[in-house]
Amino acid sequence: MARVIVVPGDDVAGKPSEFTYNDAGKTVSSVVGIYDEKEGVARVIPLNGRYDPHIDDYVVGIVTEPRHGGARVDVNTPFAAYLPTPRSYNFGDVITARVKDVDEVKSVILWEDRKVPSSGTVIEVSPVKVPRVIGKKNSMVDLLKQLTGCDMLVGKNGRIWMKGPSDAAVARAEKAVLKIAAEAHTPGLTERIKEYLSKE
Amino acid sequence: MSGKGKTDLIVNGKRLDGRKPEELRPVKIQAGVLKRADGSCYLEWGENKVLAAVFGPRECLPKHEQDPYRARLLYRYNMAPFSVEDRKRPGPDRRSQEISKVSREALERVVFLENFPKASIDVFVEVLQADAGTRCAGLTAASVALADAGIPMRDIVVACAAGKVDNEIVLDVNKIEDNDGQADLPIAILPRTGEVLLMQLDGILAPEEYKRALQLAVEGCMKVNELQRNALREKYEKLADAGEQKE
Repeated sequence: MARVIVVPGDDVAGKPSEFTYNDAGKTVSSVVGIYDEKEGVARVIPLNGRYDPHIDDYVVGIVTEPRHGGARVDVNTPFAAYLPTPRSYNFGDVITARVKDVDEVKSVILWEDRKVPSSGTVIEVSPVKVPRVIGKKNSMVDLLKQLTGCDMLVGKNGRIWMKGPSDAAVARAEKAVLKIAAEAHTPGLTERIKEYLSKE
Repeated sequence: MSGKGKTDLIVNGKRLDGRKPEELRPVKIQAGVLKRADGSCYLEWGENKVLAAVFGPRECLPKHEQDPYRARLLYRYNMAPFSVEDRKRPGPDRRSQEISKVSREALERVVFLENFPKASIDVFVEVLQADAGTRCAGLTAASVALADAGIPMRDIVVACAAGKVDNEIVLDVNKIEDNDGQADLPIAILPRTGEVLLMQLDGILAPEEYKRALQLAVEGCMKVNELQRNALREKYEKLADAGEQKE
């Protein structure tokens, strides 16, 4: 597969889509990313960036302000998301939730919240690397769970919650996740992670 | 500005540091050097050494500066006390406030600020060592750091200066030429379109001299822009190579 690294201002072929823009009839990349063209549409996958919330995203959040009938939750966006819920949470609780709505100033409303055991660990990777941490049809997450024995929840916002049988197992899983994030744009990653985890 | 009574700055068509009139100082750019910043860049431009860090989009504080239509761009140009020959009094002064303002206005034109309502994008430029042309070096480093942070922008801004020394138009003046020369013209452009985002002029140029200086500065910008793009690509190609070798 041909992988072309583009930087802001580079001309690309195809109709404009996300992370590109139209400049006097030409399609131009607006980020550092990997480019390919699919069915006449220019596709640029950014190599870095903050979390941009979309409806239906599954996220891992941390409660920053418990309220009556709801809570403010930090989901790695510039502003805390709001979660209306009958459950009561404490400051610092880790939850998973789904994005219900994002308005025009990117205020996020959450729903389908679930508390996760506070004995777990939360690590952060760049949100653009999350698709590789999950893998095709969850292949990478399944591999990580299987080879490290850890339980994992991967949020679209780049937060990953994990809990394992021992601290060593969690440390191993964390190392593997960080390796995936660092090498996310390289081919043959699943095989390499498999080798990496079985060697250690 | 007259240059009278000083040593000759151009001898036999060569400048004091051995450059030809239309030659740049050596430029070295490295992207992604700081761990805690979202994007960063270290740049050496001759004797100039500049570090740029970008944070954001993040919460905009104080709150009354939030704009529901676009992000606020913050640009802080700061010189280290040890960056110049005599100690520079630390903290913002008239000069650095002006440079921060014009650089911010140049970047506001290229970043897609409307994508991040109510947020703030913060750019910090620290000059570690100065040798004339730090506003150009700072802006050049800042735009690489912005791209490294994954912030969508129209193009990578690049800046470069031209000047008049010993009655000759030269590219990229250094400290001696800046102090004892006749004019200094720093510009910042969008390399795709050639749109000028920043232009300042210290000294006097005749119309033909100005045209020649602008042309030289634009050519210099294009050369530096190539280095900016390579620095960004290099950061990820290195990683890609490392990955492939292990397979």
